[in-house]
Amino acid sequence: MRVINKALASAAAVAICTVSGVAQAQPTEVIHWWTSKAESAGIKVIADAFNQSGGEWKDEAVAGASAAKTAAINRIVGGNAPDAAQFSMGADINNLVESGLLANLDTVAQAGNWSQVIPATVMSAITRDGHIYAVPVQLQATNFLFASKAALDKVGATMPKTWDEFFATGDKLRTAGIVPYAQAGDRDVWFMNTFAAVLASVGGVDGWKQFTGPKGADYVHSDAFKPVAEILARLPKYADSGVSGRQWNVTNQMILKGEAGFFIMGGWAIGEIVAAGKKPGEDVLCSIAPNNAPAVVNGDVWAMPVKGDNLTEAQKKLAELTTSLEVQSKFTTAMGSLPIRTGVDASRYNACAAAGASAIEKGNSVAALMIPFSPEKVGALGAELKVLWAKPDAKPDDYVTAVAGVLEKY
Amino acid sequence: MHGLWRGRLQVTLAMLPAWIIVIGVFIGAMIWTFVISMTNSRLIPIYKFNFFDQYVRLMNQDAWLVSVGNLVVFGVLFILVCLVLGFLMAVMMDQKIRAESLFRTIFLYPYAMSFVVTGLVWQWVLNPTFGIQATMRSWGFDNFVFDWIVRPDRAIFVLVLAAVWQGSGLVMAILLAGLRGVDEDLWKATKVDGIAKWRVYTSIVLPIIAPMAATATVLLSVSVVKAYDLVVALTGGGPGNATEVPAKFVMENLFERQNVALANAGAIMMLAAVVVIATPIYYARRYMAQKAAG
Repeated sequence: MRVINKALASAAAVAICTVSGVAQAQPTEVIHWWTSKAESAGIKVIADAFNQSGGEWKDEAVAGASAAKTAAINRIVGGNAPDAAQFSMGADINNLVESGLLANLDTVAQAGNWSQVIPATVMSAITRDGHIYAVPVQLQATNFLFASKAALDKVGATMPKTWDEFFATGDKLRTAGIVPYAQAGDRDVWFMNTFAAVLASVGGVDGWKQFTGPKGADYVHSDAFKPVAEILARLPKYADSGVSGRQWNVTNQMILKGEAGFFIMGGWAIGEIVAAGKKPGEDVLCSIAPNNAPAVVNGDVWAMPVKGDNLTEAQKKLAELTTSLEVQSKFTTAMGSLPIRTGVDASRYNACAAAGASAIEKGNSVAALMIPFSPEKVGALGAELKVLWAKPDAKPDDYVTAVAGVLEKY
Repeated sequence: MHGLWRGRLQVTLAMLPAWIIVIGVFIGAMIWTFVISMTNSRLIPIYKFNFFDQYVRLMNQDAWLVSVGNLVVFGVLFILVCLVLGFLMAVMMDQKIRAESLFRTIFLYPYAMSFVVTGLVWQWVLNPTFGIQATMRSWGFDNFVFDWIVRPDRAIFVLVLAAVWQGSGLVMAILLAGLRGVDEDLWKATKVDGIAKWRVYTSIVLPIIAPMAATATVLLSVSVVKAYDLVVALTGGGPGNATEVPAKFVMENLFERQNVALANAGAIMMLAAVVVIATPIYYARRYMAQKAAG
């Protein structure tokens, strides 16, 4: 009798413990790749806001974008999906959407009035078949033209407003013993980035639309594209011989030390400049490439894997917070990136980020190539450009053929 | 009888985990890879079969064909130079020198470094803008040029250089062990006959340590086929695609380009190449062993 009573009592105790354990909310797991110092400070803004509003943030940081995306995909396909995962804005999530693995965010978008406060280019990047499948987190301009002020002062030049000025200044820099143009060369994507910057500054918003539209190959073969090919064929001669294999942050150092004059890179370089103790806008000048170019903008999104019939409370909360005015202001200031909505207080932005933000507000921006193009197409384009960069006798026609070939094949 | 049966059961049970891993993981993964390579999968495995489409696409891609060519050049040079260099170093060490363990440690040390570290360090050393070329020029040799790492026609040799630096220590260690196994009496006999030392090494000792050299070759070949981290760290694929290798092609398509089926087709092609090369060698060795025995 006593034994049975004891057994029943302990069984009841265990049952109560288990039930109360289940009643506790599971922490919200978010996979992302923001692991550097500035990036950690940025994601902390969102995490703090989430925790303060009653949630429990569980950080699942994975270093490296490919590794983080792979981890997220493996978990989603394996059945143990995280609550949110970071992906690149645009075609990155197409496969996941097609397989029905991402949750629909229409209700949150309606409640937050996203169509009024988020620019049309961003909205189209996160919408598929009329439904919204990702939460925009931040934008980055990828075609900043950075210049070392020390190098420009040495030859008595200013930021070039046209490509002719750019090459003229480049000649002066070369005679002064400074590398005119620094290019990062360890990954295909840097060559694609330079190409995008040149295309945007020559073609503008209209040229870009034609390039990314259905008749892209025709545009490449037309006369409007010729200046792009000529500039691309000229650039390798203004760079040094150590391009191949060089990482982007090492190339950035050349600008900071005054060893090189110009550098085309995205807004993430601003974090490096600040971390090296230089002032963006003073020690390192920046503008959105010559010719009043539109900002070539890509960004990051939260993809919300399907967990049941609707969005979970935690997912809803994360989506609302990330797109709220307050979090966007604090987050983008900490990250050195650009907000995904209008109305953000840009007073604490540094000079470079402010230039990017104003370009977007004025509507002078285009979606980066990885938004309309599949990862395969983007990769193939970068690979072709990388091969052409290394060819010492590449002509503008070679560029036309190679780029048109990629557009036709993929 | 009972004892024998018990012994067999114990052996089988002890080997069971290893067998499960070999069959389940290795062979199972190979079969799955082959199945996926016949589908249309992009990011996520989708079982919509289009059979040998991906292989046709693979053969039509310049990037794949160039990377295979690069691998052949890299592989042949790497294995040959490593064997020769390793053999020479082993012979040197075999001369009963002082501080032999010190030298052995020094020569074997590079093998302790991962390919990534090797590639990165050599990349910084060979970069013309701030590596050897820049240093020699700052010392006054104004016309010194050593920019092989950025020349499309020479970049593959730089890859061989870094890989040989890393791998020849291992070959040396293996061949040294073989040399030590050569009978002392053999050496005495050659001294009596008055044969030159180098002749002894090439004509007598080399055939004796041939099995060791074969082992070393197999180990080096594995490194060649796997060559991914070295390429990524050293040249990122090289100026243009001068140092692209199949393993890098497969990894890129798996992750960055979100094209699982094409990547798997590449992986199966690599497996097929290894089988095609290894099988005749395996049967040749069996045949020669049988001839020697019978």
